[in-house]
Amino acid sequence: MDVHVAVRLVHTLGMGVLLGGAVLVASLRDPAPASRAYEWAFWVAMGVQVLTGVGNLGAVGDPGPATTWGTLLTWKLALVLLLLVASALRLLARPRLKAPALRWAYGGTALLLAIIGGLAVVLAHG
Amino acid sequence: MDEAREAGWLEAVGLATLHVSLLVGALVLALHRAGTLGQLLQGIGTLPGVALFLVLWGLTLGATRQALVQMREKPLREAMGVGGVWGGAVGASFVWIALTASFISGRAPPIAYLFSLEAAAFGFVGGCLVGAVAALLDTALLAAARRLAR
Repeated sequence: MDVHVAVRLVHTLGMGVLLGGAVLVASLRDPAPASRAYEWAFWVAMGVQVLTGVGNLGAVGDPGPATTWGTLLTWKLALVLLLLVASALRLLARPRLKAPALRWAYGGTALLLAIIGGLAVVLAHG
Repeated sequence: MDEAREAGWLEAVGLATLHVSLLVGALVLALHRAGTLGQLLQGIGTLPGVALFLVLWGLTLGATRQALVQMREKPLREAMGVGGVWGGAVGASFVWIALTASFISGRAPPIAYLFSLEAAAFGFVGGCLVGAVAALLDTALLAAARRLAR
């Protein structure tokens, strides 16, 4: 398998873990036990997403910030930075949060991931 | 692994990934806005880029774990000092490993290796700055998390 295809495959699968896991945890009546396992998966997958995302950019090439594609990429990168900071806050607050607050935290994560995923789909199809 | 130890490692993995991802993400965003991202990424190549990221991630994880243990319940200035020292260690190690790998792979001439200690010193200074900012961010996030959970 070509290395760029492998990088793209891992990037897509990683998004599935992040988004699917967040939706699952947010939908549980008591999200606390599952949230710990999700946090492990989230942070490992997030590191892999940044790694493979940069790899994808190297393979696709960056047409510059002035194009529509470039503007969308700027938004995607800014949202990823926002997701990282918000998720660190969720990670640190998680042990002290009650079930309703946890559901909101993981629901918010899922929403942000869905927006980033939507932008990624648009970028991938030019 | 007992629960407290596992929680400590989870916090370290999360915050180390945050630090590396914010640093790389902010650099990528700045270079993209400047219009020089494509050239740089093609110059590095996919596999060396993956290796560099994994080295930085691993070094940052070890340093973050140690820094979190040492800076717990410390005042902000001391916490930033601890973060700065560990960040410096990461910066110096990363630059030295990257240079050594580039000499071994033949990407850089052997004569340039004479300056590897100076380059590592620059890496230490840059790492100190990044580490201090990371400690400031972690302290702010911890305070915000406590407030949220009240």
